[in-house]
This record gives sequence, structure tokens and C-alpha cells, in this order.
Amino acid sequence: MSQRSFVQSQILETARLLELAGDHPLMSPGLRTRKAALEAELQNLLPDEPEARAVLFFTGAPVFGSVGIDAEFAGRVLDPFTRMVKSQYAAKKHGTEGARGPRRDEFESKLMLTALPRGSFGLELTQPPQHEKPESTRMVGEVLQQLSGLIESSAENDDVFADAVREVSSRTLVALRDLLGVMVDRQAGFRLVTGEREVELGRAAMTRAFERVNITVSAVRELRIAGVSRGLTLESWRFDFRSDEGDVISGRIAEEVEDAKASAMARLTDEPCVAVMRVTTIAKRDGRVSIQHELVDMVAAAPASANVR
Amino acid sequence: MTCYHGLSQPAVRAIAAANPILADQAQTKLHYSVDHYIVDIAYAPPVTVESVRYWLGLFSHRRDGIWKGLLRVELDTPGNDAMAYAHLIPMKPVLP
Repeated sequence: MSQRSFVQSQILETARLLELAGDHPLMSPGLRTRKAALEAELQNLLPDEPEARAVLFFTGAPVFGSVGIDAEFAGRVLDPFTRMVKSQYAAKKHGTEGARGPRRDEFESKLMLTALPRGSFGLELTQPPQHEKPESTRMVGEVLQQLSGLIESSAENDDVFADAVREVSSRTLVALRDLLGVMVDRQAGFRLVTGEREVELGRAAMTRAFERVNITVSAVRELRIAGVSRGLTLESWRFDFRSDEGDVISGRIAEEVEDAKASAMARLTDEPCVAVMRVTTIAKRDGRVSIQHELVDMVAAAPASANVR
Repeated sequence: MTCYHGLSQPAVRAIAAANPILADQAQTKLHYSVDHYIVDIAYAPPVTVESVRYWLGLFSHRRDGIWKGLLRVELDTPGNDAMAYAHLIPMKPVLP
């Protein structure tokens, strides 16, 4: 348990005892002072680094009390969940110092099944200790927090979801669709605990989230767009592009693009190009549309080529 | 930590009013060098159970997980106090 978590739990425990003690003239003053001292201590503690650990709790049809969980269901949910982590880790890591390509990223974001917490039945996933490096541990922890936010947003509303989608790859979305699909199919409830963050989806929220993500994933298209490259930033893994129609398109470089390929595309800045983009469209209920672009490929335009859209 | 029982609530209030230092952590720390808490073990059963859980959880381990423990000393035991005093007197350090 981190120092911060310890102090937080002590504050809760002290508050509980204080509530029971009421206005007892000898017991309560000491507990009140202790609670105030713990709260002051918490204020002075730095926030915890995100943990490379996630606990997935399930309720509903696939769970048999605190005795067990349907093994087939467990296998079916672990696959898309770990795909989400690997995919988003690769998307996040690209362009940062030391990146060597998807294969190494995949190794660093691998998670082990390390425990089966009881209560509602849970699966604990942790980064293997032998793979732990401070930077990959921190990044896996951040990815888990980000995915927790994405899952929560998918059940909230179109605007919040559109904001969350801006920071994730389309492959991550496909994996999220698959994860939610398995749980809807098996009528399961879900709670994800990552560090101090916790998100819970009951069955109604789960169905809502699945429908929203499924519609979004179904609308993903790959387009060839002619125009001029306005540059790639390999640190932030983003691009700018002006189409021949005059539209300025900005977005993420796709996670599967390797560093060498990205460097080659970066050299096409200000050149006429044909770009292959994966376009994710989120149609909101009020009629507005949010469009995200991912750059999959880009080549110099042939001198006499016709623009294609 | 002082655990007691057998005092009525009016008696407890009178003691608290007559000894305000008992409710003042800063003063007990300053004058007696102790971080002092009080548990009325006969106040209410749920409070007793929760107090045992709370203080045992806190005092059985350090924050880094290393075991520590609790020592129980009876209060108001004149016979024991006299024996302890007789035992300690010869050990009194000689000040330079």
C-alpha cells in the first residue's frame, strides 16, 4: 500500500470511529485531532505514481457468488482488455525516447493474471516484475487510468466520449467494443479499479456504452486524401495535413506506424501527398458530428495524379 | 492509550471538565511526551469492537509492514507500583 493510500484509509477509519464515538467528551477530541493531523499529512503528500495494476470485478450471470467465475467468460474478457492495454500503450509510447517499434512495446505492456480477489469476483492483472522498468511501469499505469476514463465516458454521453476518443487509437476502440460486447452478451456487471480510480458499469450503463462504442467503431473508414503534408511531430505522434479542398486536418499518427516510416513521412512536409487516414466519426444525438483522423500512410503524389477523395 | 470502564457519563463529563488537558493532544504531548488517546470500553459495544479493530490494526504493524506490538499496563495498582518503584530506584542513573 502506498503512503498516500495508507493515510487515506486511516482518515476513513478514523472518521468511522469518530462517528461511532459521537460527542464522547474523552474519546472524541483525540480522534478529531488525529483525523485533522492525517488530513494535513495527506495534503503534503505528493500524488502517487499510477500503478501498473488493474483489478476487474464482475457481477451477474458469469459469476457464482464469491466462489468462482465462468472460465470461458474470463478468457473472453481478458483478451480484449489486454488488447486495449497493448494497443493504447503502443499509441502512447510512439515518438517517446527509446521507442523501437510495436514488438518491444507489446512486451513492456504485457500483464500477468496475479490474483483472483473475492467479493464480487475479480481478476487482478499486474505488470510482470521482471519486466518492470520505472518508465514502462509509469506508462502502463497511465494507460490503465486513461482506459478507465474511456470506459466511464462511453457510458456517459456523446460529448464526453468524443473527448476521450480523441486521445485513443481506433484499435483501442475496437478492443473496447469487443470487451463491452462480451459483457452485454453474458449479462455481466463490471467494475474496474486502477490505482485510486474506480469505474463501475451496471447492466443498463453497459448496454448504453456498448451501443455508443459499436456505432462509433462501425463508422470507422479508411480514406485516401490528396493534399499537402503540413508536418508530423514525432514527439507527440501527431500530424497536420491540408487537403486539396482546403480542409486542414490534424490528428494522431496511427499506432501501427513504425518510427522509420514516420520519419520518412515527416520528410514530405510541404510536399503534395496522398495520405491514407482512418476516420472515426461520432454522431451525437443532437445532430452534431465529431470526426477524428489517424494517419496510416502517406506517399508523395505522382506529378500528374488526379486527386482522389 | 488509556482504556477504562465503569464511569457514568456524568462522571466522565465532570472529569473532562476538570481536566481539560485530557482533550488536548498538543498539551499532553508537550507535558508528558505521549500521543495519548482514551477508549471508554463500556461506552457502547459497537464502539468497543471498532476501537479494538482500529487500534490493533494501527499498532500491530508499522507503515512499512514491520511488526510492532502493544504492551498492557494496569493503572491504579498501588501494590504493583510500589514493587516497580523499589525495582527502579537502584537503577536510577547517576547524573554527572
